[in-house]
Amino acid sequence: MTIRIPERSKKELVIVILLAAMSGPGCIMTRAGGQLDPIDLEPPVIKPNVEETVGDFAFTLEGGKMITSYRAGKTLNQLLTKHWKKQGYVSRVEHVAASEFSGTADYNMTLSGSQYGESSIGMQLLSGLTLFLLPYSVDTKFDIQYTVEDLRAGAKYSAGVQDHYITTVQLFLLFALPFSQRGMNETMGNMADHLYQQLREKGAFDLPPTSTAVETMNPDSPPFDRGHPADRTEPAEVAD
Amino acid sequence: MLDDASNRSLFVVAASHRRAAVEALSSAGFTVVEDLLASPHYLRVVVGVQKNSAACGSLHNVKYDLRQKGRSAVALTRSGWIGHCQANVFEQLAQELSELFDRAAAESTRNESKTQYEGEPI
Repeated sequence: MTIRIPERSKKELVIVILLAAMSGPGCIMTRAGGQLDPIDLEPPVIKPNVEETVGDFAFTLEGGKMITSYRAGKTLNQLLTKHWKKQGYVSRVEHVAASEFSGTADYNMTLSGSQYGESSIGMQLLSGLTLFLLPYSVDTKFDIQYTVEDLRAGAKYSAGVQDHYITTVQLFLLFALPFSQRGMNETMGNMADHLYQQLREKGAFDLPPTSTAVETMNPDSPPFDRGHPADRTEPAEVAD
Repeated sequence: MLDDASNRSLFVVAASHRRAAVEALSSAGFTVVEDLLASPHYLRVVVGVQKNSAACGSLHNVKYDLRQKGRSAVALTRSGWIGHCQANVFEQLAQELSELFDRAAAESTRNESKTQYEGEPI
């Protein structure tokens, strides 16, 4: 049995498909900026449980106002820690609201920094007017830091990276859908690897997991040194 | 209110034009640290959309947001030229920030000596 679609409905269907493709990730292609080189990391000593949150993070889109964007930071955190999980650097990552760490993870991790989307507004308008036949691009730049607190040792470590990726938007990039995220994933992977490497080099992620530590703890043992309270940073301001 | 103004170390976050911003801050007498935990001052530099261009560079709005303990302590915004143009907006903002640090440090010293004087018995 064949389904006959009237000619008018076919046109409407094509328009709907094109609009859906343009509004989704279908008409884009990403290219890695390549500021950071890919690195081969040593296998992790431990695979800790990590709780992550977003601290002082700003997402700015060119032409718009500077906004403190908790959601953008949360998405970035998810992309970075997804790579960490995939590579086996951590066993579990849980997102918590700012300054609401449960205290049960091995490490508390806070993202801070800046994300900036650079693009020609004129080209965006022109591209929109031509229904995306003319391409436009957005250069997404990152300058980000992770602050990691080792809950048992009371030590704090920080790491920072800068990199970017370029997104091109054009109607016929619909056909490049299977590869559209490749550049972004490459940049995220490189940033995540470099952040992890810097933290490892500073001494983070080298203690046995909490479960082992809890088993060996006894009430007579001296308390863990959490450092001077003045050395701890205040919870970061969060605004969405 | 700017705390700890006698400490002129800064951790700089700039997703674009980082090098130019850091060079201007160093020239203005700041020490730019590479470790986030090494400074109480967190300076976010944001360069806005290009408004004009010339052979020497381009015209932008630039914002310096100095943050302490997750809160904005000082925000400076200025429109000016970046690149090789003179006057350079990064240099102007770095100088402005430097003057703010000087004033806050001097005020803090005055307040300390006033407190000591008032606390002495007659």
